[in-house]
Amino acid sequence: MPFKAPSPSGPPEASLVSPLPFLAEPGAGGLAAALEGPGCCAVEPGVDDEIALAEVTAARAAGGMALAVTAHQAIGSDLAFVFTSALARRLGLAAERTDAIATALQEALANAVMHGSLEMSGFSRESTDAFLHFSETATARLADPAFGGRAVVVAARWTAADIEIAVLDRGRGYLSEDLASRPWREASGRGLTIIADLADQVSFSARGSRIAMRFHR
Amino acid sequence: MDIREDKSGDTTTYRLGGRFTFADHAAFRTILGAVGGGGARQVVLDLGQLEFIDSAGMGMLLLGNDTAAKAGVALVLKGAQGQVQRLFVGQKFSAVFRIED
Repeated sequence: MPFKAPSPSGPPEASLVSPLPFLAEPGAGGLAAALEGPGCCAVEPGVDDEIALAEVTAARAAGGMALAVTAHQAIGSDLAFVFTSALARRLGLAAERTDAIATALQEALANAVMHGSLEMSGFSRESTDAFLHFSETATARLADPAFGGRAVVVAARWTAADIEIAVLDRGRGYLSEDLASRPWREASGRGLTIIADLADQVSFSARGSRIAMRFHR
Repeated sequence: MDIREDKSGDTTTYRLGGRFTFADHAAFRTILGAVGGGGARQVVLDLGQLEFIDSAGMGMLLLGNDTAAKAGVALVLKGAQGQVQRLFVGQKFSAVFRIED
């Protein structure tokens, strides 16, 4: 079912900058169509977080690609693969580079949703009961607008030499200030290690709520 | 992720297809139940059609291996290729799992 996009507020001449386009359809197909559109960016209806929208606006101004969606949409629509596929088509990336970007982006998005939006720790290997509790909590929080409705942004911009992909969530941050600011290769967490291995440069801000990954083209 | 189950004797095989990510935690409960003493003495995860795995998916496999060991069930990972195989090598999964081509 298509989204019902809100009506634009105010007369068109009220702003010199055209409004960000809304995502017309949920799911992987809708995300792909938005990225193939002339603006190469879109916002899921209902996502109105100013910082998230600013991230999309900045990427658009730089001629890049960006999507702002809910955490629920991000995890349920193969966002990492849809976004990476569109980026690869746009920039003519080699398969190996595309594979590395998709893998790193999936890790960043999983962190943004699980740790950032849902405010959950990763599941422990302590027991199957602990995993079942994790699974039930994740399902419940994704369905809860207070968690699953939080904005998640993926934004890309590029030069002839590099591609930078940022992932932003609107949770409270899940890295300590120390870890977010110091070299973190030794950080615990398999996902961060994978990102560190695949990206040529990684930086965090806002206690991990924003990660920027740079890849050589 | 798609999961297909095939039981033969005391072996249960799960053929995994598509992408195995954080989003598949609920689907993985089926496999966790089997390796936790669901009747099979050996559980094979056939990964030949699995296109992609993330760290959460690998964490679930590790949990499955721990659970199988406690229940006395042999867990085998079979047929990993492409991105899945590359991550297994990078994360040294061969030191933990019984892996077959």
